[in-house]
Order: sequence, then structure tokens, then C-alpha cells
Amino acid sequence: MNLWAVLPVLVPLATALLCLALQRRPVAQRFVSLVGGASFLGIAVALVLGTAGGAVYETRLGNWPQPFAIRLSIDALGAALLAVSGAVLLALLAVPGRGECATARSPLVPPLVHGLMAGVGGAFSTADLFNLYVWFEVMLIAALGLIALGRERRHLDAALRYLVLNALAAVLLLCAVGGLYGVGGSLDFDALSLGLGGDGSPSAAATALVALALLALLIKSAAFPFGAWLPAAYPVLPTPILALFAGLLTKVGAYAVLRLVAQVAPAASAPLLEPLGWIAAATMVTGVLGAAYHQDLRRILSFHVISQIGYILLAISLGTRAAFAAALVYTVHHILVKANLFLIAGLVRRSGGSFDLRHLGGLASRPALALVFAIPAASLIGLPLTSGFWAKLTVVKLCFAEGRYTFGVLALLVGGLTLYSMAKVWIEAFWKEPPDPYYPRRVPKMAFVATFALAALTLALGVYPEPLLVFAELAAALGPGGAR
Amino acid sequence: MAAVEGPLVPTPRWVQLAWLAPAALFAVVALGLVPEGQWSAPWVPSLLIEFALRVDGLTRLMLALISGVGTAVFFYAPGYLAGDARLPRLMALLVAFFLAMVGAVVADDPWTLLLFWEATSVLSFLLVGFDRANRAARDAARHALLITGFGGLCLIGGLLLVQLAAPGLKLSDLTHLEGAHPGALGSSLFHGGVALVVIGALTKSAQFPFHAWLPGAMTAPTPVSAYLHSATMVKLGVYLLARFDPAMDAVPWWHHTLLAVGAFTAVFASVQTLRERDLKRILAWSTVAALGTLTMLLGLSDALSGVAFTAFLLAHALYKAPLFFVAGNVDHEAGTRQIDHLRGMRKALPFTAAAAVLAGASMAGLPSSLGVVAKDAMQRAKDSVDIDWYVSATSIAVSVVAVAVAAVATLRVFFGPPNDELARSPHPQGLRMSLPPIALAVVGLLLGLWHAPIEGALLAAARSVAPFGELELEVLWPTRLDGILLAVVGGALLFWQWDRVHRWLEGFRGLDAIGPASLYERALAALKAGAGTVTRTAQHGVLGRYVAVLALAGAVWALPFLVRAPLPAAGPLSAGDAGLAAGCLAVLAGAGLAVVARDVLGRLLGAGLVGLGSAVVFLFGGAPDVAFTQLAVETVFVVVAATALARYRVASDTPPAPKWRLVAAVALGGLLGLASLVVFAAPFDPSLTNFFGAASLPEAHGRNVTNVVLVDFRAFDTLGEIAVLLLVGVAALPLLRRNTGKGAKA
Repeated sequence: MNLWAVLPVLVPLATALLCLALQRRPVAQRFVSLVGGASFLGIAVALVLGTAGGAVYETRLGNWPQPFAIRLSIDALGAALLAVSGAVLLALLAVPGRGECATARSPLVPPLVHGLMAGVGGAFSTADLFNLYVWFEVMLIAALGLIALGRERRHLDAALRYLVLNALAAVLLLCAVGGLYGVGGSLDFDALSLGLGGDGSPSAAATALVALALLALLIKSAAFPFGAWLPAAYPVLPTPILALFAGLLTKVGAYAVLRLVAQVAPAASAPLLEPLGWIAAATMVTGVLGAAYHQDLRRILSFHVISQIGYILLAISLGTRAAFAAALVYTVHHILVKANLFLIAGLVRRSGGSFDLRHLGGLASRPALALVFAIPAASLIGLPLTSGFWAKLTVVKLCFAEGRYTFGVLALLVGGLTLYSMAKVWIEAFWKEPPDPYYPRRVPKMAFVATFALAALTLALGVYPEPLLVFAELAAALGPGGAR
Repeated sequence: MAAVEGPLVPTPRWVQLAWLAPAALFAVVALGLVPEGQWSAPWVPSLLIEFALRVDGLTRLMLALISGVGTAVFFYAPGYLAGDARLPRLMALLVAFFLAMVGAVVADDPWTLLLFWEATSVLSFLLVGFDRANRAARDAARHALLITGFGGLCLIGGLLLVQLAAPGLKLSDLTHLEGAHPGALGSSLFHGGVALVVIGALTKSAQFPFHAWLPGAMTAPTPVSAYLHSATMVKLGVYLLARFDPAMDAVPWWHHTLLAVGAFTAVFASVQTLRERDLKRILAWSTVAALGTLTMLLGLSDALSGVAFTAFLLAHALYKAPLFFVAGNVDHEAGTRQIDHLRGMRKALPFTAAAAVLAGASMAGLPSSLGVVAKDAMQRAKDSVDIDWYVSATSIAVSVVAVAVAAVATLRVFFGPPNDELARSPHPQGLRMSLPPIALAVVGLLLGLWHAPIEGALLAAARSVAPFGELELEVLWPTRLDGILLAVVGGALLFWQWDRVHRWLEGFRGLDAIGPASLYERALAALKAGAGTVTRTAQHGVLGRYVAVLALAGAVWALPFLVRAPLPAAGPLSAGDAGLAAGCLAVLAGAGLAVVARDVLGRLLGAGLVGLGSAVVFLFGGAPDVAFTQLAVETVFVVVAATALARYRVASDTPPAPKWRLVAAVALGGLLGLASLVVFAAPFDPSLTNFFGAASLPEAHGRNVTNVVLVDFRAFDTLGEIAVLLLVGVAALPLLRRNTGKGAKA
């Protein structure tokens, strides 16, 4: 029994319980919450360092023999995603979440946030398909609680939408998991992989059920045309929680797609990769068009979440080990950048008094805010010396190398539209004269600590991406034989 | 934006001394202290990317140009924006730009080049939008960014394709491509990649149809226009083309494209020059024409064209930058750049007038200026190869307009009787503003008279562009004066008739309507409208429609794979099947009731019937414990929900759903039904069930296997479900507290 493999679930679960118990003592609750977040990050970093050396942290719960036990197995892929999740968690806990709406101040936020992290931790650790479904459910309920916390009509409307569409995804996923168990004879990733035909010739039934599972996961990852729920639900949240949602929730879906395609059912999913590529392309394009259209900063960023998910799915759909590595690089980059941009949107709101570009202006007179926005924005566009450049470059390069020129060209063009959207934000919010002379206001220095830390991470990965690329290459050895 | 209102802000010391940085680099380059050679460090080995630098003749020429003009610009800027609080920001951006340009021309690895290339695009955006309170400046900055950003994307795509054909290609490999990467030139990937690189270069050098951003960029302060948008950044595009020229020299499409694009741009921009009245925009269009000429020269396949290219590159920077300073000084003094109002400025600005005359002479290609050297080299380059007629015609037309523009910028603005209606700036123009234009113009003239110091440098640079054996040094001496004479005479005529030609050309409104400037506007408008349509269509906000779209799209996605899987064969019926059938009938009836019922209670009962039917199915399917659980849950749910509904009086009558949603519902149901049939058809592997059955009592000490599965074999799932319950409680807490009825719907 390896304790390390259980910690990403147990630590946030324990933190959530403690935070719940400390509801009426805000200072103590905040302290516990921060300690819990820091421990999560610390554990994840230790796991990354361990897996970089080739270790896999594995435990069979209850010590039942494989494949009868639920197996937790943290490999390089899981560890990397746990680490960026931990970084985002700590950053958003560190951002003082006052001001935007009642939700941010509620003492129920920390228990729900850590409860959600337990789901995230479980999903990135487990090597069991049904157990993965359970953690999805944990995330769904915690997310639903966070959305409904605002209690106003708009929050409840958003919660209802989120619930209905995600519950539908959950039902589909449950059916697919049951079906895959029926066809493959196991729930353990490795045993199931063998049952589904491994690397050889899978049955048509296996392919059909993998398609059903992918459908559920595509809804979870907000891919086109299943992603309509996301921009409808997100903007009612306060930005720190929005950062958590945008950074992590859809990415867990994309992660599960990667596990399924690369590890559990490489052969069975082969016929699905071509349509998956087109879904990914449509996701990229429609997402960025939504961002180009909207004027509310939260909506703009929400649509970019969809667009970026498209890049990750596109990489997965190429189906080679290098492409899986590119998908991981893109996911790591995207979690860091997108969560940060939402945190910064909160700072923009504090300084400029609004999320709406039409009511913003003159923020360039706040150099720290301008700089901390410019770095992740440049990374989202994919300018050199940011993590986004390497993430996009590897995806486009692999598209070209695989002869998928249409996908590569589309990926480049979506980068151009991202440039348009970010230039719009910059020109409207930062350059234009403020419509209201009371703004922009000063933002306390402490509010910048977390955002600058995340910005520094994306810059560091941009200046010297080699360690991440090498690590991703190692982590992408997922299939039964390691690679294809 | 030149005159400053309000209190003057003292200029920081570093801003005053910033010009020393490019001056130092210029000294190092001029003294020949920059050795030729290559240098590289590993950067991203897994992508075969190095941080590689290289210095050769062309690099040196570009470095001299960047640092030389940079010295003048950095010296000039503190005078131009004296007392303006924004001056330090301008200088900081200019210094960053200077460094990016230096990086771009010393880069050897294409990705190192791209890094600096994109940096110049971003800095250009920030500098064009420098006067950010001005809407025109913001729009111009966006235009410049989007066009050069698009070019950057093309460049990225192009470099990727080129490196697929020639892995790890360095720019220095392009002089001996066949040796370094055998077969690359025969690959269509390579040609496709180079075509994209060409588009990237054309956007940067403002070539047709990507040129429209450059005249707009004139909203930037004058030092920026002089430095970025005439002398250096816009040269980066032709610089990159020059780097690819040795490798592509034998390829026909390369010549034809560069000749055609360059010639058309030059003519188009020359015509536009004659339609402008703003001095800076006149200079901007003539810059576009000059860049077209440079592109055209690269399209000529000859050693002499390399000499002509480098000579013109240098000459243009040395006369156009001073002319921009002149325009800035005139604007600063008179408060206008409209040539209709400007005349006789030589009294007020004697030094600027002198600089204008000297630079104008060089631009016109008058004998004894560096301009004539360039023009002569061009003339002879064209004589020595067989070229299309339009190339010669273009170059004559462009030369004629250049002469006329030079005359307008000098004679018209500075001579004749002064215009007394013009305001005069209260701030005298000191050394900072007078010296840089004079100095650059004098250098241009001196080098024309005595070009021994630069002969070596120019020929070395030319050899980088066109490495074909030995070149003769005498090539730099003017030999053919007929073309020059023709240009001067034609230009004089055009200058004489300037206003008439201007009015005539101004009438061609069609030129604005079909021009790429309006193309850009239209594309932008189309993008906004299209994005709006797509987004509003997908984001209608109706929950039922989201679900329906999801169900239909899901069916389209998964059904093609489900129908390929085998279905179970029909077997003989047994007694238990009657119970199963009864359960199924109950489920169907419940579902039907839930759809048909108009009030909520009816729907709830329908849903309850579905649950009841499922329990019957479980009972006859061999899982009595699950059946009893299901029955209990279903009963409790219906009772609780009915009580809640009675208490809150939810509006019963909801409008009936549109008919097409029935299709969506059937599709989703069919999808799941088909999926379960497919699963039943597959042979089941019972090893898990067998193991759980066998290990339950002896190892896990429990008689009820289901319980043991829940609390031991799969206890971790149960932990997760407990977490779910806990979180449901937490989530429900705020909804239960002081509920005012607002939350009833959720």
C-alpha cells in the first residue's frame, strides 16, 4: 500500500471537512484552507519529481489482487496535472475574493472548493473506470453547490442548466462504463485494455461503447456542439471560483479522453479519431468566434476555454505518442494561463469597476495590472517566450507532420482570432479613456502576488520549455506497450 | 501631439543618454569589431531548436543601419517630446525595439528570428498606439497588429513546413541548401513553406495586399515613424526574403511572385502618394513604394541585383529617416502636416530646410548622392538580365514619383513666401531636433561622393544576398545617367503639375473602395457579424434546446459505431420473461405518461411508474436486493417530491415542447437502448463476479456479496459517494436557509 497515491484525495477531503467544521471561525478556516492547498501542491510537486525519475505511485485499495481491487496509480501524466491543479488552487485561495458578489464571502466556499479538489485529485489518481466516474460526480456536485451559492435567480438558473446538462453527461458516462465492463470484463484500466482487445483488433462493440464514453466526456470537456452549457453557467461565478472551474473542470474531461484513447482503448478508439479531430477543429473555431463576439470579460474568457479545449482534443485525435505529449503540454499551459486570466479579470473588475469592455478604460495607467494581464494574454495568443507558443507550436507541427494540413492551418488561424480577441480587450480596457472618471482605482499589491506567480510560471515554461517537453514525452508512454 | 500643454516634466538622465547605446553598437560595427561567424547554444533540443546567431555581410549592414538610424532617433526623441510625461515610456519602448531588431538580424535559427520578429510586431503595436487616448491611433495599432500578427502566423506555419522538409534548417544553410539539406528543394513541403514565409515577409514589409497598415501607422510619434516604419522594421520583411533568395534563386515562381508583387506595390503606392496631402502619409506611401522596389530587386536573378538591393536599402534609410524628422519638425513648428498650408518654412527652420534639401537630393537620385549609386546599380542590374517590360516601366514610374515627392518635401514646404496664417510653436527647436536630420542627410550625401568606406561593406552584404562568385568593385560608380535624367525631368514635370494631378487622382474614389484598406475593414466587419451569428445561434439560452441539440449531436456521433456492433440473437422465451416484459411495459407507459401529462403531478407519477417498472425488471433479472432498494427509493422520491410540489404550487401548465424535440428524445433513447443491446450481445467475462463471490466470506468476512462489494472490494467508490452526499448537504444548506421562495424553481 503506497500512501502517496491516496493523498491527492485524502488531503482535500480532510481539508474540506475541517473547513466545514470551522464555518463560524473565518480566520481559522482561511488558515486551514491555505494549509490544505499548500499541502496539495506540495504533495503533487513531490509526485512530479518522483515520476520524472520513472516511478509510478500505485496502490491497490484493500490489498485485493489486481484486477479485483480499485487501483490508484499516479504516473507522470497524473502527477503533472495534479501539480498544475495544486498551483491554481493555491493561487485562487491566495487571492482575496472580496467585492464581487455574496458568493465569494460565504463560509461554505472553502469546503466546496476542497471537496471539488478531492474529485479532481481522485480523477487524476485513479486507474479504475467506475472510480473515475465517482470522482466526476464529486466534482459535479461540488461545482453545482458553488454555482447555487449565490442564491439569486441568475445563480439558480445557471445551476439548473449546469445540473441538467452535466447530469445527462453523467448518465451517459455511467451507461458507457457499465457497457465497457460488460464488453471488456473489468474496470481496471490495464485489465480493461486487454479485455477491449488491447493493441490488436478490437470488437465493433468495444468501439461503439468507447464512442458512448467519449460522448459523455466530450460533454464534460465542453467540446462543440456539446459545450453550450459552459458560457451560460460560468459568468455568474465570482472570478476566483471561475478560475478554478475554467482551469480544471473541462480539463479533467479532456484528461479522461486522453486516458481512454491513449491507454484504455487505443485500438478500439482508432476509428473514432478522425471524427474527434473534426469535433476538435469545430470546437476551436466556434469557441474563438464567441470570444471575438462578446464584450464581457468573463464571457470572452469562457469562450476561450472552449477554444483551447479544441487544441487539446485536436492533439489527442492525432493518436501518436508525440501528440499525446503535446496534449499534456497544452493542458498544463492552458490550466495555468486560463485560471490566471480569470483571477486577473477579477482584478480588472476591482480596478475598473466592471467586467464589460464598454464600461472599462484607462487601465494602462496601472502598470502592474497591465503587465500581469499582458503576460498570460500573450501566452493565450501563443507569442514566443510564453508557454502558449510551445504548446501551439507542437500541436501545429504534429498536424503538419501527420499530413493533417487543414487542422494545422485552422489551429494557426484560431491563434490569429485569439490575437484579435485579446487586442480587443487590451485596446478597450487598457487604452481607451475610462468612461467614468472615478476609475481606474488602485489595487492593493497583495492581490497581485498569486497572479504574478502564475504569470512567472508561464514565462518560465516559455523561456525554457525543454524540461516540460521531456517530461511530457515520458508521460505520454501510456499504451500497453508504452507507445505506438 | 507635438506641442505640450501644462507643466513641463524634466527629462530623466537615462532618456537623455539613451542614444549612447545604439551609438556604441554603431561604433563597434563601423570599426569592424563584429567578427563574421556563427554561434549557437542549445535551447529546445527535443524540437531541434537552437538559440543560434550569425553575423555576415548583410547582418553587418543591417546592424549599422539599425544602430546608425537608432542613434539619430534616440537623440531626436527627447527633443520632440520634451517635457511630455510619456517620454520615458516612448524611450523604453524604442530601446526594447532596438534590441529586438538587433536580435532579428543576427538570428540564425529561424525560431530565434521568429522570437525577435514577433517582438518587433508587438512593440510596433504599442508604439503605433502610443497616443492611446486617440481613437485613430488605437485603430491603426490594431490594424498593424492584426496584419503583422497574421503574417507571423504564416511565418510560423511556413517555417514548420520548411523544417519538415529540411529538419533543423538554419538561415545560414540557405546559401548552400543543396549541400546542407539534399533534396529539400525538390520537396513540395519546402515550397509550400517558403510560400507562407513569403506571405509573412510581405505583411511585415507592407507589400500589396497587406500594405494598408503602414500609412495608418503614421499616427505614431515621428521618431517611431522614422525608425520603425521607414528605416528598420519594415525592412525586416525584405531582409527575410533576401535570406531565402540564394536558395530559391533557381525557382521560377519565386522570381515571378516577387517581381509581380514588388512592381505592383511600387506602382500602386506611387499613385497613392500623389493622392495624399499629409506630409507624413506622403512619405509613408513612398516608403511602401521603396519597399516594393526592394522586393522587385530580389526577384531579379543576378549578382548586380544584390548590389542594387543593398545600396538601395542603405540609401533609402539615409534619406527617408531625415525626411520623417523634417516632417516632424515642420509639424512641431507649424502644427500641421498638410502641404496645402505649408510653404516658406526655411525662415523658421533653416537647419531642417537644409536637411530636407540634402535628403531630397538623395531621394531624387541626383548625382553625387548615395541615391544615385543605388539607382545606377538598379539600372545596370536590369540591363544585365532579360526582364519583363513591366519591371522597367515600373522602376521608371516609381523614380519619377520619387523625384516629385522629394521636390514636394523640400521645395514646396520650405521655399516660396511664408504662410502667415500658420501658428508658430512657442518652443524653439534645439540641437536635439535639428542635428539628427542634418547628420543623416550629410552622411547620405558624403557616401555618394566618396563611397570607399562602404564599398567593402556593401559588396559583402550583396554577396550574402547573391553569392555568385566575384563582383567588381567599380560597379558602385555611376555609369548610366540616361535613366536618372529621365526620372529627374519627369519628376520635375510632375512636381510642376502636382496639384492638378492630385485633384485628378483624388477623383478615383474606386481606388479606396476596392483597396485592401477597405478589404481589411470589411473583413473585420464580417468577422464581427459572423462571430455574432454563430454565437447567438449556439447560445440561445433555452435549456430544452441545449438538451435536444446535445441528444441529436450525440446520436450522430455514436450511432454509426453502434449500428456496426452485433446485436444479441433471439433465444427461446422462459417464464421469467413474462415478468420482464411486464416491467418493460410499465417503464414504457410511465415514460409516455411523463411526456403526455400537462401538469407536474402527472409527470411525477409517470416518472414514478418508470422507477416501479425498473424495479420489476430487476426483480425478474436476478437482482431482488437491487429491486427492493429501487422500490424504496422510488416511493420515497415520489412522496417527497409530491409534498414539495403541493407546498410550492409550481405553475402546472408549461407550454408544450416543439415536435422536433421528440426526434431528439427518441434519438437519445435509441442510443442508450442500442448500447445496452450491444453489451448483451457481447460474451460476458464473469471473473470479477466469481472472485467477489468466492472471496466474500473467507477473506472479507461478509455473507452478503453486495454489501461486501460496497464496503470492502470497492470501498473507495463508497467513500467518493459519501463525499457526494456530504457536498450535496453543503450545497443545499444555503438554499434551505431563509428561503424566500426565489429558489423554488431549482
